[in-house]
Amino acid sequence: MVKLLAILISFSIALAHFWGDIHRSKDRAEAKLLQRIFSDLTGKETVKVFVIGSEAERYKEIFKHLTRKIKVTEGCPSADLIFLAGYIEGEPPKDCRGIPIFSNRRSCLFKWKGCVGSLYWKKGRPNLVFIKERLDLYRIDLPPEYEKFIESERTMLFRRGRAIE
Amino acid sequence: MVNWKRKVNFHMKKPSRAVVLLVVLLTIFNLSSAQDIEKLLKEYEESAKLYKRTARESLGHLFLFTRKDLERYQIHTLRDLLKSLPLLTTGYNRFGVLTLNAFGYLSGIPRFIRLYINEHEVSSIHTGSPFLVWEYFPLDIAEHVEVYLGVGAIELGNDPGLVIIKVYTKEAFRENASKVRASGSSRRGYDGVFYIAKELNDGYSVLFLLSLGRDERANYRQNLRRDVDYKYAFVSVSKEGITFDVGYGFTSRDPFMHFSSTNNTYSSHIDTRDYYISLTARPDRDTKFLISFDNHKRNFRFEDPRYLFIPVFMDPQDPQSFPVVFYENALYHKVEAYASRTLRTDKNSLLLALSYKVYASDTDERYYETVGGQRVEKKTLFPFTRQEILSFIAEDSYSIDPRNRLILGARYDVVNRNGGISDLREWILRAGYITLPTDSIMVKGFLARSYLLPYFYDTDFSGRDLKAIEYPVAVSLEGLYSKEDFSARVGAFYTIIKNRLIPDRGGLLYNEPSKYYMKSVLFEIKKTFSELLSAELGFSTLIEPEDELSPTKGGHLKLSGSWKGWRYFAELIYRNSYRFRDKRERDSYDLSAGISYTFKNGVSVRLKGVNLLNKAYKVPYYNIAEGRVETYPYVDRTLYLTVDWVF
Repeated sequence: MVKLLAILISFSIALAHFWGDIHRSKDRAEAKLLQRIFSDLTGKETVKVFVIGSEAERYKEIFKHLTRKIKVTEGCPSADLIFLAGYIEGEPPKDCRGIPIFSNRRSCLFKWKGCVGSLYWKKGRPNLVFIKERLDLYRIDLPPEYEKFIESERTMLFRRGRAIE
Repeated sequence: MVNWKRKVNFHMKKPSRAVVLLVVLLTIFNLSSAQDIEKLLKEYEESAKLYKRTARESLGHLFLFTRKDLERYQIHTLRDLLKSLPLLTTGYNRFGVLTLNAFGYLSGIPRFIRLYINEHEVSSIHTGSPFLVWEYFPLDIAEHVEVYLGVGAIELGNDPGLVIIKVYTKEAFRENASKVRASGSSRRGYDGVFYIAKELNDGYSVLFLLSLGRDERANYRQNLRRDVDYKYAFVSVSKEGITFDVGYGFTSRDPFMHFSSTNNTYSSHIDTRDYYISLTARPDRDTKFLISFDNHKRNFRFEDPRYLFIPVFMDPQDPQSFPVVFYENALYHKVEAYASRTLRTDKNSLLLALSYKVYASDTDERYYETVGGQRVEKKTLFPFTRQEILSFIAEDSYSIDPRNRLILGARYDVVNRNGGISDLREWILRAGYITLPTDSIMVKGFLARSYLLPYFYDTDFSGRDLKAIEYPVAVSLEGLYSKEDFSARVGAFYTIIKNRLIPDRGGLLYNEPSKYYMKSVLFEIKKTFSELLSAELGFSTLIEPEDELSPTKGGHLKLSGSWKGWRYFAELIYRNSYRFRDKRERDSYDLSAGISYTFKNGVSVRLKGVNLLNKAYKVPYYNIAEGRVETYPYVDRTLYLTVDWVF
C-alpha cells in the first residue's frame, strides 16, 4: 500500500503543472466583457491598461491569455486606463494621476474621483455603473446604449447601483 | 477623497468632417457593440454561476435548485425543497422528524441521506439522518442546492449514501448585501432570519446568519404534538482559497408519538444541539484539504403511562419490565480530515483522496423507569461507542473525445469499531459513461456497488452486531435533452439491496439476508413559455414493486411566472395510494401556491399556502397498544405571510 501511495504521489508531482485556472469559461466571459468596456471607455481598439490591486496578478494572466486587445503595461505613463482589481493599500502611484480608473470593486467609486466606473457584484448579480461627472471630466463619451448604466455622483452616493435585470 | 487633476486625452470635442464621418461609423460600430454590452453582462453572469463550478456530473443524477427556484417557489426549508423529488416521498417519522421514503419503502430514519452545508457533512453522527437538527436550516443563504440521486458517489469522502444534498451558501463577495426576513403562519408559527454577506476591504469575505423560529403543527389529539422551536447560526469567513465555517443548530421538539405504545406525546421532549467547525483550504483548483470537528448533544425524555415500545428494554414475559419513561443525555463527536488532489492531462482527470473520520458517543446519563416502578440505569446500551473510517479514494474521468467521457472510481473503506463488534472492509466501485451525441443531448449511465453503514442508533436499539447494508449492483441510465427554453429528462434505475436493516418480529433491527430489487423510471420536462409562464412536469414510478408500504408512483406539476414586481407559483405533488398493514390510503394531492410582490427598495411581501386541498400524503403509524394504523398528513394546511428586505 505504501508503495502504491508513493507512486501516486510521484505521479501527482509530475503532473502538477497541468493545472490552470485561466481557461474557465467565467474568465473568458469576464475578459470579453472588460475588453468591450475598456475599448468603449478609451475609444481605442487596442487598449493599454495598467493593472493594480490585490487581484492584479490574476487579471494580468487573464488579459494575457484570453484577450488580444488589452495590453498590460508595466507602469502608468504609457497606459490609457488603470484597472483596479480588488483592493489596494494607500493610493495608486503618483504618476497615474490624470488617467481614469475602472475597477471590479464598488468601493473604488467612493474612494477616488478618478474612478469613472465599476463592474461589481451585488445581490448575486453583476452591476455596471459609470459616474457621469467623472466621464465628463475625462471627456469620455460612451455610446448611448450605456445610458442606463450612467448615473450622477449624487445619485451614486445615495443609491447602491443599478442591478442588471 | 483624492482630487484628481484634470487631464484631457480622450475624444475630441471639435471634430473635422473626416472625423465626423469616422464618428458616425464608430457610432454605428458602437451601437452594435454596445448592444452587446447587456448580452455580454448576461453571459458573464451566467458563466459565473456558482453551480457551474460545484456541480459534479460524476456524483450521480443531479437535480438542481437555483437561487431563482428557491425564490420563486418560496422555498425556505429543506421540506419545501425535497417534496418534489422523484422516487422519494417526503414524510415524518414517529419522532416528528422529517424523513424521505424511497418509493414503496417506509424508513423511520433515512440513514441514506447525506446533507452538506458547503463542504461539510452535517448528517447525524448518531443516526445518519441530518434532519433532527438541520430540517429548518434557512435556505435564504443558499446560492443553490444540488441533490444527487444515485448509488456509490465516491469523491466526497462522505459516509456512503444514496441521496446527497449539497447546500451551497451565497458567496459574500458576489452578494455584498444583507437580508431580514419575518414569516408568520396561520397556525401561529413564526420564522425570523437575518444575514449579512459582505466582502471586507482587506479581501476577507464574511457571511453571517442568525435565525430562529417555531413550527406550529396541527394538534390531531389532545396528547399528540410535533411542534418545534429552532435556532441556527452560521459564520463563514474566507480569503484566498481558505474558508472557515462555523455552524450551530438547535431544535427543541415535541416528539410526536416517539416510542409511545398508544401513539401519544404526553410530556416528552427532544432537545438537540449541533455545532461544527470546518476549515477548507484550496491552494489551487485541484487540491483540497478539509478538517472539521462536530459536536452533537441530545437530551430527550419520552413518556407513556401505559408503556414505551422499546424492545431492547422489554422482557416479553414480564409486562412489569416494560418502560414508561426513558431519559437520555448524550454527546457525540466527529473529527474528519480529508485531502484530495486532481491530476489533469489533456484527456484525463484523476482524483486521488484520503479521508479519515472518527465518531464517538459519550452518554452522560441514561435511564428508564418501568411499569413496576423500578428505575434502571443504563449508561451503556451497547458497548459500541467509537468508530474510525479510513477511506482511500481514486476516481478517473477520461475524456475519450470532447463528446464522450468515461468515469471509473474506486473507494476502499476501512471501518474499525470498538465494543467487540466486527470491523468492516468495504469497497465502493463505480463506472460511468457520459456522452453528448449532439449539443443538446446528454446520456449518462452508471454501474456501481456500494453499501450503507449501520449507525450508533441501529446497534444501540437492536443490541446486535449489525453488518453493512449492501448494494451489490446498481445500474442507472439517464437521458437529457435541453434546447433554449425547453428541457426533458428520462431515467431508469435498477438496484439490488442485500442485508437491509428491518425490524424482526420482536421489533429489533436485523440484517435481512434476502435480496430486494428496486426497478424504477422517471421523466421530467421543463418549458419556459415566457416570463409570465414556466412549467415543469415530472413523473416517476417503481416497476413491479416488492413492497407498497408507501407510494410507488408520484409526480409533480409546477407553474410559475413573473410580471414586473409580481411573482407567482403553483405546485401540485401527486403520490399514489398504498397499503400499510390493513390500512389503505388513497391517492394524495398536495397543492401549494404563492404570490409575491417586490418593491423597488428591495422589500418583498409574500403569501404562500401549502396543502391547500388538504389531500397531502398521509404517513402511516402503527398504534401498538390498540393494534391499528393511524395516518397523519406530512404537512398541514397552512398559510404563510412573509416580509423580507434585501439591502
